[in-house]
Amino acid sequence: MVKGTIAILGVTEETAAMIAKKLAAGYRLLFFSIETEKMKALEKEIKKTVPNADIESMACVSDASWEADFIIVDVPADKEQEIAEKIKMFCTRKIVILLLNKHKYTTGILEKLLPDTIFVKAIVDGRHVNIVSGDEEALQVTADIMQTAGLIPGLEITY
Amino acid sequence: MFDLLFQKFDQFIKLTEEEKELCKTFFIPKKLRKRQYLLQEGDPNKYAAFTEKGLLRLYTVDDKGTEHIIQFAFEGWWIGDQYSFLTGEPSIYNIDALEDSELLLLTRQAEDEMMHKIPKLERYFRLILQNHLIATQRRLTNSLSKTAEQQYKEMQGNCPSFSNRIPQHMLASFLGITPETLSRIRTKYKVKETGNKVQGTK
Repeated sequence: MVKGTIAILGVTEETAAMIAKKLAAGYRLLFFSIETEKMKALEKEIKKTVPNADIESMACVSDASWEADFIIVDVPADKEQEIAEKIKMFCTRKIVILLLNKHKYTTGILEKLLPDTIFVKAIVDGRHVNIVSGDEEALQVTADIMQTAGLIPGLEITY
Repeated sequence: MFDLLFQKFDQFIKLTEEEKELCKTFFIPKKLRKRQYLLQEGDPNKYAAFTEKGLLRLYTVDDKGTEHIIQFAFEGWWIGDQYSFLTGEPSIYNIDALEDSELLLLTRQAEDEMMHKIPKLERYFRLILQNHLIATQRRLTNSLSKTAEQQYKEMQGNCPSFSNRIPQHMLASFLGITPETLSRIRTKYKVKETGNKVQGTK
């Protein structure tokens, strides 16, 4: 089976880093963060514990999105517009998962600027994650990814 | 990203700028690195892939581990397991990249939706399928009735870039011969070509 490629944008954020560590065994991962040194340290740390991990820290967020099959975004709300403009051309019809939690909100601009993507919100609360999307297949795919990341998914479809 | 795709469309149909913009929303842009798989045997072939840049191959691996290359896809060519694409059945083929490649992927659902919204595209896809069928019939005929040397000569005439970009052992696999036989044919072919040039004939 072809190993899927997941780009994790903002990988040095707490939730994204936690998920990245668990996904390394099952997926090819492309990291992106403006905190370059922290990102490379995370890559090194994961490769020590998961020897066969296929991880690359990317210099370009557009390239990471272009190569990816799925895109996880964990950036502060005020960075959503910047990220959306850089990845817009490369994520048409791809599943884009926005990680949120009780401390992190979204302005809604990411979803608005990426109208041709399959958008999913994943709201993490401890070991649980509530997955919200208008696309049933995207809900299931995201649930599989989150389960691999050790989280317990609850699904919510929006119409 | 869509330049070559639209050039290919233009060969058969005329899309308006609006239709081209709409068309872009149906394709998944995907970058593959050299040696990365697009499809592995046993997986369903979810995508028809258009090659904007790069080079891919479609092949099977037999019980002895020998690869049999069915098709290459250069820039402007489509590639995919048609049966698996249409039925969702597990593919018997592998597709991987021989060079870093930039692809535009189309799912079956997106293809149907696109042709429903832009009916002109039905003509384009019909014509490329016709051309593909003709090429496949020719390849089968050549394989059954021509010598390896004749097949090599015809391939060189039709697709000279094959030799420049494809490793010899893969060319041999494509022609259904051993790399040693191909090497002999290429040497003989070069000598003939050189001989013809020296005599001032070609």
